[in-house]
Parts: sequence; C-alpha cells; structure tokens
Amino acid sequence: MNDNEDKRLERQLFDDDRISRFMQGHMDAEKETAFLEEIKDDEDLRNRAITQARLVKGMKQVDEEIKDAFRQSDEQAIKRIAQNATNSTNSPQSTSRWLAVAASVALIVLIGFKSYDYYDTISLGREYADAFPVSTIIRGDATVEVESELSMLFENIVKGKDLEATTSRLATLWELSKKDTYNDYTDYAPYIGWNLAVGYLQDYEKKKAKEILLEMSQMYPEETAIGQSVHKIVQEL
Amino acid sequence: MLIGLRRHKDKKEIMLEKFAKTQWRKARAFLLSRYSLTEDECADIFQDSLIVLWKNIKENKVDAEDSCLSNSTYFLTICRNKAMELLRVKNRYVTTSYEFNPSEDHFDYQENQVDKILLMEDDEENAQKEKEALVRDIVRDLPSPCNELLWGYYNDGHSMKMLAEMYNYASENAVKVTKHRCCEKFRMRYCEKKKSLF
Repeated sequence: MNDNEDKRLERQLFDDDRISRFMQGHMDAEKETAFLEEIKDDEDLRNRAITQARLVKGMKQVDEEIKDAFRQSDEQAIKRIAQNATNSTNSPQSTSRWLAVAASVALIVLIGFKSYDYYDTISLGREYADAFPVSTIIRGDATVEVESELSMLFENIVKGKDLEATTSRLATLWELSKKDTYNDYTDYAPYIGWNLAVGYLQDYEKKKAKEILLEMSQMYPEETAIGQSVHKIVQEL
Repeated sequence: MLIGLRRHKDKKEIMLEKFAKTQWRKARAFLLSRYSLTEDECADIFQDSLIVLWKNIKENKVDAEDSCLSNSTYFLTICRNKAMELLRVKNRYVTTSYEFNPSEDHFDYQENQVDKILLMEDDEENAQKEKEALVRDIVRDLPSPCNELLWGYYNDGHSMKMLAEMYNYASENAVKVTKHRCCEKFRMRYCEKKKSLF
C-alpha cells in the first residue's frame, strides 16, 4: 500500500471509531451535533455510518429471532441441540476421528481386495505351471547348453522357484526367440513365452503376464494347443 | 398444514443448532484457554449453560436482568459462572492476568442513536422492512472471519482488545483493519442485493 492509501485507511479507521462512539452514546451533545452535520455533507462518511447502523440493527433483530426460537422450544430439544453441538462433526477432533476411521476401513478393504487378488493370481499361475511338461518340450534338437538351461528354467517355473531371476532370464530369451533370424530359441518360443507368463503370474506380476499372453494370443491361433491354453488363461484373468 | 408446521419447526431448530454450534466454538476456546478445563468439562458446562439460557429466556429473566446483552454475551457469562463454580468445587484456581467477565467487557449500542443515522438514508418509508429483511439475510450467513468480527463487535459489543484475544489476532489494529474490510464487503453485498430487489 502506498502513502495515500495508508492515509485514507487511517482516516477511515478513525471515522469507524467515531461512528461506533456515536452509536454507543459516548459523544457529548456538542460533538454529536457536529458529527451529524458532517455526515449530512460527507457522502462517503454517511454511507459508512449507515452501513454500520444497519449491521447493529439487523444483528439485534436476528438475536431476537433466536430468543423467539428458544421460547418456542422445549427442554428435550435444547438438550439434544446442546449434545449435537458438542459432538458436532464440524469439530476438528470429530472430523479427524471420522477421517481416520474411514481411512482404516478403506485400507482394510483395499488390503482385503489385494490379498484376494494376490491369492487368485498366484493360484492361476500354479494351476497352469505344468500345462506343458518339460519332457514334452525339450526334444534334444538344440545345443546341450540351451536345452539344459531351458529345462532348468521351466523346472523352476513348475516348482515356483527363483521366480524373479527365472522370469528375468526368460524375458531375454523370449525377445531372442521372436527375432526374424532363426536361432537356438526360435523353436522353443511358444514355451518360453508360456513359462514366462506363468512365472509372472506366480510372482504376482499380473500386468506383465497379461502383456505376454495378449501378445501370444495374436501369434498363436486358438486351434493350436498353445493358443487354446493362452486363450483359456486370458479369460480367467 | 401439517407439512407447513413441520417446515416451520425445522427452520427454528436449524437456527438454534447454528447458534449452538457457533457458541460451542466460542465457549470451548474461552473455557479451555482461560480456565484450563478438560474437553469433557467444557462440554458439560456448555450443555448445562444452554439449558440455563433456554430457561431464563422462557421465564423472561434475560430481559429483566440485562436487556443490553446479546444472546452470545449472556450465554458466555453463564458459561463463565459455571466454570468458576466447577473450579471452586474442585479447589482449582484461575491464574489469568485479568478476570474476564463477558458481561462487563462489552459496549452497548443505543437504539435511538442508531435510528438517528438511519434517518439520514435517502429512502422511502415503505422500503424499510424490505431493507431490514435483506440485512438479516446477509448477517445470518456471513463468512469467517467477518462473521466472528462483525457479530463480536456490532452485536456482542466486544472491544478490539477482546476480539484480538478471542480470535488470535496479532494486535488490536489487525482486528480494526479486518473489521473495516468486512464492513466494506457487507456494504457491497447489501448494495448489490438492494439493486436487484428495488
């Protein structure tokens, strides 16, 4: 605020004080007369005095309405109103308490839901873990190292063992198996994908499992054994 | 007719509920800070005091004792007296710098003085009732902090010092400036509503 505004505010605060003193009857007769003359000539002062006079009168009238409301009430109603006011949800303590209760309930529900979903997902993974037994997958066409590793990885998925490391390795092999250039993993692509998805389910990586399965549903027709299994598990998810 | 009666009763109860909630906030803050009472003690005092207020209004004791006090100031005085009574019974003592008595720390506004100012309003006689109704509507629903300061100053007649203490203002001047701005806001709102009405 600049100097002029400061001075203007100071003057107005001084006038507010004079208006109050007039209404409270704290001015002597001479000052009162002078003040009323000043109000007649000064529009701004007059408007502010009228505003404050309206406030005093209006509030007194509302106060009388409240008294009337008390007169028309009975003791039971007043007791109830008094109790409600002190137990009011407007009080900061009650509001906090209700918020805490609501948050706890929400958390319990969320945990409950998450627990159910966790159990459901893991169970699905376990159910389909040996849909394609390792012995039927590894045929001895690839190198010993590749087959040995794939056997170990697929066994881990069947047993639900070292899931994080296993799915991490299978993810790498899945990408390799999908390459256009033929390699040691190309023929095992559907089983690498399948075990990867099932491994993710057992490790509660539901989103990752879905991505793999949706990709596989595009790659393998439903008429094939792998396509059928993919379609079935996607529906259950 | 029954529906009409029921609606009227709700409006009255709503008014009393609003009054009670406002007074609870004031009384609670006042009793906790001044008399170091517990929450339960404050609640008990408040509930007992509201019954006393109701009884005194019903029996016309309020106007006989002191017609200048607002409902709020009168009620806070009852709360104060009950708090003092409780402290005496429990042998506890108040250690505040000065003894606050709501019925003493207030100013009265004189009706005839208020009317002298209102006579200066350039207006026709028959619009007075409408204007008064307009003002009542606005003052029933003022936002904070204007609600506390305007009611505290113009109805309860509290001093700037008292208002600064009650509502945790840094100084009396801070209250004066805020109150002044609230008056301006009230004036603008009143003028806007008056224009649309007339």
